[in-house]
Amino acid sequence: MENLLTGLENVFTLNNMLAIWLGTLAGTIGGAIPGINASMTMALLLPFTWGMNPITALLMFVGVYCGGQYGGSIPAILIGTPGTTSSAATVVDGFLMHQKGQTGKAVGISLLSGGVGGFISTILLIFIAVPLASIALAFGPPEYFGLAIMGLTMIASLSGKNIVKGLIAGAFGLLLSTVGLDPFSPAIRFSFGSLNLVNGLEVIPVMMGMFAVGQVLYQIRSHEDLPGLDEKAMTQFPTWQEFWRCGPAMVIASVVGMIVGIMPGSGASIGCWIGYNEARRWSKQPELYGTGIMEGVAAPEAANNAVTGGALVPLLALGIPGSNSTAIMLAALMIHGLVPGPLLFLEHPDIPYSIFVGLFVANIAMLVVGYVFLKAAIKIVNIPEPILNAGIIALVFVGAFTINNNLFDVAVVFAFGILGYVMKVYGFPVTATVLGFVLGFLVETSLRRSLTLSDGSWMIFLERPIAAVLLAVAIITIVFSLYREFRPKSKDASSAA
Amino acid sequence: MKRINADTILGVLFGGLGVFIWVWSARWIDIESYDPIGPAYFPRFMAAIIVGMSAVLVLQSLLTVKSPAHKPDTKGVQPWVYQLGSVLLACSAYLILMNPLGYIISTFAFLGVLIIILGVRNWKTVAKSSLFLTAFLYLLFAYVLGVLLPDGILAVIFS
Repeated sequence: MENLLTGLENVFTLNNMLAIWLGTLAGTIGGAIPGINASMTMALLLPFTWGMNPITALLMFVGVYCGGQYGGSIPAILIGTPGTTSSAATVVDGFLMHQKGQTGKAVGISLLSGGVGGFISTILLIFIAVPLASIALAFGPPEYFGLAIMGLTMIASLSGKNIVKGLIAGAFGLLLSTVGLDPFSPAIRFSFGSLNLVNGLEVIPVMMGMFAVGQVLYQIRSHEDLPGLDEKAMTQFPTWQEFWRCGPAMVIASVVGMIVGIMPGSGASIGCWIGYNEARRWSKQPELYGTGIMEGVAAPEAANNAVTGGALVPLLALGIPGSNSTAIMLAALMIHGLVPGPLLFLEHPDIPYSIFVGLFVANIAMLVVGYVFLKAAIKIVNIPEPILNAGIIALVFVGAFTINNNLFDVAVVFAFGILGYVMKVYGFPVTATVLGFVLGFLVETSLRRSLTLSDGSWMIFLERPIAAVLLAVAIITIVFSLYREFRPKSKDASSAA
Repeated sequence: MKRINADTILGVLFGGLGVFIWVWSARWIDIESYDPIGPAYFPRFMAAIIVGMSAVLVLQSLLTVKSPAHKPDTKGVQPWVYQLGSVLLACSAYLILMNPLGYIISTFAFLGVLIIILGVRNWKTVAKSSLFLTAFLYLLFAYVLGVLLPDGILAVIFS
């Protein structure tokens, strides 16, 4: 309770409130622009957090995270193109409602259900993250190694279509984290004589390159002319009766979204579909879903906003990010020398509790910003794609330059942008590489500390029950995914032969 | 009919990278470390995973007729290829010219070229957009955030 009050004190300062509200606005705008999502907006804002207080930086990202989920529904409803993958399910009923002339009600219920989903998941976050963090306090290096490997294998298997490519991408990300000075010896690894690489690769340029530049380059390849948005569209809130009618769908989808958010590698893009399906399954009139009904918009929007609270559980309690957005939040914490996980609750309890309170405020901000700035957001969405993409590249480049006042970081952004593009084109999950890179230090140091404790014996991972279970889950995930991967193709091959 | 596709080539490339990492890491084996396994162990562990998975990817691609990830284009070179190539060239030129020309001139030119490459043909729109974006980014980073951006040939004016 005392920590929660500290969180309240931290959040209700001018700077932090401004950070949440501006973050929510940026997220709403970013989410509303097709091709840009919450994680890309966060990557673009990452350099600005350099001189910020860590709590202010995180609260801004919490705002971006919430705003991004709602923002994605604006183009989903108005032009039938989701602004983010997490709003893909909203297109089904939302766009039909728009075509039926119920634009205001569709956008209104999307905003309200997003708020409901966000509030439910924040309450559940407080009740799950705190006990989980106290359990995780018993973790030593073998458990952390098991946990990181489990998270990484789940992401490698879930974030792409091909587990083999996912594992290559994850291992490549782990390898990237070894560049520079070794933490246990004077060896300088993979610097190839470059002084710029002695301290390793910076997190910000790598992320901005892979997420922002990679995405822009990919858009050039898969270019589609998008229709403009209807500037006359206004937020017209649904009646209380209509809102209550959507209640069950919102609650079911919120709980489902929260659970999906906790699982690493799933995220809002999967959560919105599962939330939509579960709300339809439990509905008294499931046959109406897909015909342009309000519940069909409420469910995916409640689910994708509920994912935000869920995704913060593994990040805050265990220090393992489960999605692109939480990986960037992890980077923001690391920039300020903070390591999320159980110790964060002991050493800096003000940070997780400020995030809990910040999430509440961000959901309120989302409701207000969404209502007030809908018209402005629509205008920004209508910026011609070439100008928008050119602006993104220039912003990312100058953002990377600010880190060390060095063009090398700009070159890193460019190189990782090309890498991100190539990976996207050939089906390698970028998320697995980025998470491998972010978790690399934890994985390597935990492994080496564990083997130091056991005099080089790998049996330590079997002797520690939690580590053994976590690694067993990782192995089962890989084996199951490989089985799933090869089973249908062998049938195809035999039929082709 | 078994044939080589993009996944086969990528599998071979990643396999080659894994072998390179394994060989390159050999130089750290004898370095004294605080732990029993040393600095070469983890990169080699990852290299082994990459080589193993690359072999599976190559086999997988050879055992399937079509590439699961990438369908080759048969209609000749698509316009986006030129667009993408030009964007990459413009980015490379920007990286090389930012220091000698300075942030303002190089960014204005870079944005103009980029917007044209990406499809805007109206020169007034190009000029206005690049001017606005350059001014916005310069004011934000140089004045609001206090970043020292390269002055280049405009150093005389700024000094």
